[in-house]
Amino acid sequence: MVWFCGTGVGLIITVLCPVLVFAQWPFNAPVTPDAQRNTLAAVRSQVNWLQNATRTAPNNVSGGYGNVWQQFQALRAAYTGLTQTLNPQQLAQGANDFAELNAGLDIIQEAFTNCQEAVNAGQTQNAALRDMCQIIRQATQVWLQEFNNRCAKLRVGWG
Amino acid sequence: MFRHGAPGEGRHVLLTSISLALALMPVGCATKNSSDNAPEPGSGIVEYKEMTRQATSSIRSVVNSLDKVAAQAPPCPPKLSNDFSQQVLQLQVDSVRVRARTQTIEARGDAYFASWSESIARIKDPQVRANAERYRPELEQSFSKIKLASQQAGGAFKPFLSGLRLLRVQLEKGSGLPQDDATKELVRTTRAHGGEVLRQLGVIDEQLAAITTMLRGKTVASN
Repeated sequence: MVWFCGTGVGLIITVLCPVLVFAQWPFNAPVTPDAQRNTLAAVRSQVNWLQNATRTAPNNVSGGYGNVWQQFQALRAAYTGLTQTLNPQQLAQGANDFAELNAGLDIIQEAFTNCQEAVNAGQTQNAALRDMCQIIRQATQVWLQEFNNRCAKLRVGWG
Repeated sequence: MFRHGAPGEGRHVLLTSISLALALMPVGCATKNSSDNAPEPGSGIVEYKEMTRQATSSIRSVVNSLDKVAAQAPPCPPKLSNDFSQQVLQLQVDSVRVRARTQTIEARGDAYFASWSESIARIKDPQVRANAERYRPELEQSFSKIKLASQQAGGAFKPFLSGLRLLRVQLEKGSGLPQDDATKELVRTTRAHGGEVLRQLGVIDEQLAAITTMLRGKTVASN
């Protein structure tokens, strides 16, 4: 009974929180189509949450920046979780693709530093935060399109 | 299976040159059916060309807008000011893909092209494979030029974007660009960096066109 409950809890956590499981769990992530589909969904969901955060952040200057930062880091964790579910063939054939997607996240992350530099240069916090959110929102949409295209090409989650 | 090369110098050179040639080909391809996992010849090149052209268009738009703003004594008309601001923001979005490609080529170097050696076995078009072997020295040269142009474009883009962002803040603060020497110099250097990025993107575009011609031979012209 205890084993069954423990397994059920683990299953629920895996399905609902793949980011937590694959980004923080000390054991290796399963390399299965199911795991890939879960992490694909996690990445796409996290992009939505990040984009929502960019819409609300300009209305909350004091906490908005931090919230967007947290959601972005959660996206990075979700993406890392996905890469941990890839099989050797996908990793080999998609080495450049996943490197580019990671580079894309690095580039988008520059928006946070640019925001602080803009404030240091004299832009108001409101305006700098608004600009940062616009860039992150639009850039992550572009990134998501690339992500979906590359994953489809490499048959991530197929089977 | 992942092959990192092959025994024998001649075959290694062949695989390296073909992998160089095919490095950009499978990216962004669409397979026609689930059983056909061979990349569509040329589609990766088409995608890369589209990236560079989008970035080129965005850069030209923002430089054009900068010229108008820089030529305007304060106060700058809101329309010009807003247009420049939005162009700078849009450039940061439009350039993400090509910058990611450029940075990846720089970071992975030879590994970027070496990882595509597996794609040789997946190319089903015998004509493309034959052309890749036939033009291997020229393909090597083209990819070397692309790699160098990518590095130089990336090197110029950072100060270009940094200058644009700073000018944008100054424009918003003062309802026009200051007419002092420091600002004029910033405008000049920013335009110079933008021009260098455009030049290097042009080199990449030329080499992609050359690669397309070589791989397709004279039968089909890829766009």
